[in-house]
Amino acid sequence: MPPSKGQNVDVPAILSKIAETATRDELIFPTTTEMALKLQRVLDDPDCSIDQLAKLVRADPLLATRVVAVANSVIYNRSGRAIADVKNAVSRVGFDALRVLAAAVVVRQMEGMARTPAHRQMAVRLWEHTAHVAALSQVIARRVTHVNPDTAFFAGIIHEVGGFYLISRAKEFPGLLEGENGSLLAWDEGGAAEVGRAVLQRLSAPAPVVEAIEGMWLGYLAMPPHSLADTLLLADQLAPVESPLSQLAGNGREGTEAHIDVALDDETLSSILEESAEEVQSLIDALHA
Amino acid sequence: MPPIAHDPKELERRALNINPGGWAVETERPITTLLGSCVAVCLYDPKLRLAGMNHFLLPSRAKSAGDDDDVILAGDYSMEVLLNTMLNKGAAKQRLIAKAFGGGTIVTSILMAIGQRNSEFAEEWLDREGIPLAARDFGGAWSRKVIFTPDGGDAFCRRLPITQPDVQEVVKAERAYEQSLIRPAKPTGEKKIELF
Repeated sequence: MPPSKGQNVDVPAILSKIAETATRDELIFPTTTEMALKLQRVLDDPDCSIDQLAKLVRADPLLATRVVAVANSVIYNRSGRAIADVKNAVSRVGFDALRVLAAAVVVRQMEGMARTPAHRQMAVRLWEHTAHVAALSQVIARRVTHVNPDTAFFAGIIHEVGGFYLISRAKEFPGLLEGENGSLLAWDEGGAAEVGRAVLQRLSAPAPVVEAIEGMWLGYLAMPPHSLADTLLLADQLAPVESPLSQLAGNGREGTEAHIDVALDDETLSSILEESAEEVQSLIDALHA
Repeated sequence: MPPIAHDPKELERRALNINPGGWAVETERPITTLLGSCVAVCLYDPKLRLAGMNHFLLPSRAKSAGDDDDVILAGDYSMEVLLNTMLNKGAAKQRLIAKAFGGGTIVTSILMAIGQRNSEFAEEWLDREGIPLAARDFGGAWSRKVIFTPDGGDAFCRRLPITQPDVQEVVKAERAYEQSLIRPAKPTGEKKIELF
């Protein structure tokens, strides 16, 4: 990547350094993250039981709260019968959704790793963006691309882990996130992939999800959308809250309007999303719980 | 239709590039273009697996000596030459499906409203001709790289920051194309336009 112009910091070199740090054992996550990663490993065991999972979930109040909230959201609770205990919540949402929620805990913990007030504000906004992308990905997967909705939800949750890691390290590189829009162009030109790849590897993200996120970094949205990568890209483009890193990379909407739509059998993407607004909001609310 | 596995990088490598004012119709090679404020309309005949794409803009009214007809003619010409080339190769108009992209707000070099006018023109033209618009991605503060493949008629659109060096080049090329479309108003009322 060539050095970015018009700023005092060599952004591509810094991004490479951050990616290199992420690949080593220096990547320090908060303790809750370790629990969430342990849950992921238990979920990988085909013989794991609901009791075993419920015990792990109960050990972390944040995850337990979120699992119950999602179990009571519109998508998982069509009957409207609320439940309040972890075991029934795990049973209702299923193993795939539990994997998603564990990932959400990891990402929320990463949000808290930012080390200055300005960076924390940026991380909070990135989480807002992430929650929208994850919720939209779930709905787009189910209604449009017909890929696994839980996998899409999971991919949406972790698609910006590299961004959270960048923000958490930014204090060490004054000026990196303080430039004008366009100053972080190198993030869009390979930096996001370089840092994100390293963090995803450290988190042992599943290969099909990593492949989809790689497709998202490449940036080509198929019209009509087919794949998990398309699902993520479309959700990213439709999310009402933009990633602050996209804005810094000069790829933000900057107050302009964009109109994207696809005809799908006898419906359109926009009509499907209009119908699904309540479901999307319920997932976002559950992630914020 | 079942999902079609395409690698956009590979398609891009094989693709025939068209510049502002250009068009192409292909049965084998993908077609690609880089858009700023311009619009690319992709037409596809699924029976023949015939794909066509153009890359056009309507010149700014402020620079065209008040000759609105010439402004519209520039768009009409680009659309008609694409449609006629498709029909000459055996396409049937009632089978055609359109996808359209572009009309970005490239504020640094071309008037803001141009992108919107270009996309509105494309939508109106397709509607008038009865060609369904199956997908669109218009507006926003981006440039767009579009790839269109005859193999299934899939289109791939990538949004790019306008600060990228390649994008700055296309902005210049689109501006030169716009200048080529502008000519002084003729006192005789003759409305023939020189395009290239």
